[in-house]
Amino acid sequence: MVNVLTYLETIARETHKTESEIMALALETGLRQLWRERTLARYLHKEISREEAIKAVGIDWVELAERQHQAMMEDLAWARRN
Amino acid sequence: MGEAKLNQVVVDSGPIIHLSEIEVLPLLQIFSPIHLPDAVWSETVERGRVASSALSGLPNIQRHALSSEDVAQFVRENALEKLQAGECECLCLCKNLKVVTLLTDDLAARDAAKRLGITPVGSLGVIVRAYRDGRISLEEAERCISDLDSTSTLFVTRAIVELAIRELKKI
Repeated sequence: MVNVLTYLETIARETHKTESEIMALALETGLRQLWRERTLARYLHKEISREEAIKAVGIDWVELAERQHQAMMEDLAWARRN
Repeated sequence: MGEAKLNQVVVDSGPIIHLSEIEVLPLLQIFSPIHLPDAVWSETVERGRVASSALSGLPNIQRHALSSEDVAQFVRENALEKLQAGECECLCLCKNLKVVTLLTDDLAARDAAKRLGITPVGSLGVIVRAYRDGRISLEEAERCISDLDSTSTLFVTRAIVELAIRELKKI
């Protein structure tokens, strides 16, 4: 498995950006992902409404989370049966 | 406890790949037999995603070669054109063998299965069932579910993993 330092060096070289610029982009991307995960978690825990979740992360992510949640609940129900 | 075999299943590529990635492929032994269409063998073993020995080493695996004409007709009749080859063969095999459970992690394949009266079960279901059957401990089940997100290539929202672990502890 390639380590993150190799990712950093390779992306910097291939995009002709400095490693500092790549680190800044990585931080922003990571924070966006964490924010999305946090928002979806709050929605699935019923702490915010569907409309609020859609406004925060977009309907595609909300619908994907809903489908995954349904699949999870079906799997749990199946595992408990029989 | 723990040795009872569940009914037969057909298995898609997803659970084979994801359970293999988190090193618990032998959990599939809770099912017997496991029907494996050739397209799934191709998507997993021939593409180098799972070792041949790991899969064929499971004592309850039965491989099936399906006629491409039969599968194509089945796909047309059931409007499954958007699914991958392995998923189509899995659903066709379920119908041919009258198997009512399909192991798959693909959301579109799950929808298609339900439309055809087949029960879809994902990697999560296999892990929880293995825990319920006493094959793995609660700690191992928690680790497996967490690894589905952090280690395997299964794309799942982190919040789903957290909810699944919370539900697991209620069993």
